[in-house]
Amino acid sequence: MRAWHFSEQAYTPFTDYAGPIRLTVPSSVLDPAKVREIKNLRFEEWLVSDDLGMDIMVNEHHATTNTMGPSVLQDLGALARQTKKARLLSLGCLITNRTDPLRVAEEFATIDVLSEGRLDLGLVRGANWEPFASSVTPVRARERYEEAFDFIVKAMTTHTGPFTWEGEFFQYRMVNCFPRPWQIPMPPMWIPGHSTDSARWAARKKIVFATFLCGYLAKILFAAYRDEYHKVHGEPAPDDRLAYLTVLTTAHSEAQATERANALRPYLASLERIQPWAASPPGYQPPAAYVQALRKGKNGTIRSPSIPTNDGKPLDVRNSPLDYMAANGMLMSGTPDQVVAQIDTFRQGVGGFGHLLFMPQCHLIEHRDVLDSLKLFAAEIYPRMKEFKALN
Amino acid sequence: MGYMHRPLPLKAEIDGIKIEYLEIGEGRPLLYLHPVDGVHEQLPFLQRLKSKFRVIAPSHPGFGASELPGRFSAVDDLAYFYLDLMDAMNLRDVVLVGSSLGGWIASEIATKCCSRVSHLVLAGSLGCKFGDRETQDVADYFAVAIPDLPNFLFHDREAGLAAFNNLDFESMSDEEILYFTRNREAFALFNWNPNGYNPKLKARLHRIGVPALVLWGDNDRVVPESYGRAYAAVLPKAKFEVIPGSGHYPHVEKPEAFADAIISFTR
Repeated sequence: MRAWHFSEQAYTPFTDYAGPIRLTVPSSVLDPAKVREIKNLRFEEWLVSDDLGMDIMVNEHHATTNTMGPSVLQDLGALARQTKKARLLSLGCLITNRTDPLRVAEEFATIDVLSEGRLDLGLVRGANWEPFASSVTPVRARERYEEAFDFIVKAMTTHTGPFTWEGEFFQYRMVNCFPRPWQIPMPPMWIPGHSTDSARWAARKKIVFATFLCGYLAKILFAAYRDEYHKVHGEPAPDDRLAYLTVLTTAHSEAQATERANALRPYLASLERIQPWAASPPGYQPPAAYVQALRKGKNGTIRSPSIPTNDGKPLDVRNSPLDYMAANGMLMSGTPDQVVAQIDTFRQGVGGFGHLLFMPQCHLIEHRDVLDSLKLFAAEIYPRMKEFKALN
Repeated sequence: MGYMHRPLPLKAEIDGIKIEYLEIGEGRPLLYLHPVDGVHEQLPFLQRLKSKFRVIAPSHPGFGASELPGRFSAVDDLAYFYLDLMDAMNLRDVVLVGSSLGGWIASEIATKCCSRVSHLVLAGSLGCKFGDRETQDVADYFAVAIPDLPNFLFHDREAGLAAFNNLDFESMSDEEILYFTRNREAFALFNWNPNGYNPKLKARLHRIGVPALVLWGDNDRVVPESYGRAYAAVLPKAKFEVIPGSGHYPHVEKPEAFADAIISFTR
């Protein structure tokens, strides 16, 4: 199993603003000098992971205090120069909000060249609130995504001069992507998702399907992926086609790990700081999906689905005990032995996956604790993860 | 009177698109084009209009139970659809009435061809850009939480709550809620960007040679009265009337005043 170090680069600690952290929070709450410091610390942590043999994942979000990285292309451009051996995963580039996928293909190809072929390329549809930060309607965003995906693949793999593209969503007179990517035929593709439709689509394309912080929903999604993969390709999907993202920390003692976990936990609660209208834009989910959410909510509120758990009991990211958080893949923490067991139990519980996307930094944890946790992870957890026997 | 969209009794196929519609009353044809929240037969303004008109009110493609063809992406598509509908039904001397989004569609229809239209009525109509580039002319419907819609769309919040069945989704049928969510999705397809207008429409309004009545609630929180006045000023033969005590939906909030204004305008 491979380990990918991810951070959202949140603007934290962040305590003097109580409102929603998406879309409408005024940028006056940010101190540019502190943003610079935060980004420098996150890059430093990533460089440590590069030295320690882990891979690196970056993402992007828009108009939110939780993410100081509005472009994976920018951050990966810097990491491509500064890192030596880590694979660099975009998960991903918010293609739904981009109007020009040709620029995206060109810039990814440049990152692949700069890093001598270390790019893993994920395109994402974005979070529920994200369409508001763009001019692109959430309706039919999936079809638009799929056209952008096909276009970027063709742009990066065509080396015979320009081609034209006259699609429904994108039109180009001459497409000629320079530079061409380092990897042949192109960097590996990824997609994150939270629906069986996304999982099945990824399976048909044989690309890596990742899912984030969704507990035992992963079991349903991975099963759908494996089912579709087997149907379409006539062989079982290898574990390395599947990835799961969790918050994770480790320490020299259980008490120290608990302290670190409690510093990380506010991140999970922060995800709920969203306006009701932003959480459910029309078109983001099919109308039928909103019917049940409206019925279960009160007075027209749309209730978010609860996180499926290993025993069917409710999980509360603020208050559930840490061992329950770990058992459900939301926040793994403990001594290295404990964390190895948590990862192994969870991957077996959800049917196996080959990539652990782990988030050792967010919100209140101190930089030095992140570095310490990364070193322990590299020395005592990662070697044992590599020895996990594939389940499929 | 609840306003939640209900199934319409009649079916038609226009341009290969299956739609639902209602037809009530007798007299000259009145084609009613609904806002995002749809239309149904029991609405009092329709009951009042049916004494004078043969009222035809479809669910737009993508709304209610009407199909949405994959090729549709703009209000322009809806306008051509209704031109074809009027041809297919052979409607003549049509009183073309639209509320909000429906007014936008009606305006686009009339700029393309008025050969079957005798009068145009726009109520709280969207569709044009009058303000400067830093002014949002049409308030963002999608940045309003569903529980706040009654207050957003109505002058009197209580009337709005009643229109939305007190937002008691728990006691609504799946079909009713599905219509509600489907209407919102279709509106987000046609209205996301730009928000509430076609940049080219204003410069085309001069083509509308038929008499037009522009009706506006005096407390419209979606598009202010000044927007309605600007609309009327660009239309060659327009009359502007305010409906007191109404928000964005005078057809629901003041059904008698709304229907009577149409009746006296077309007399």
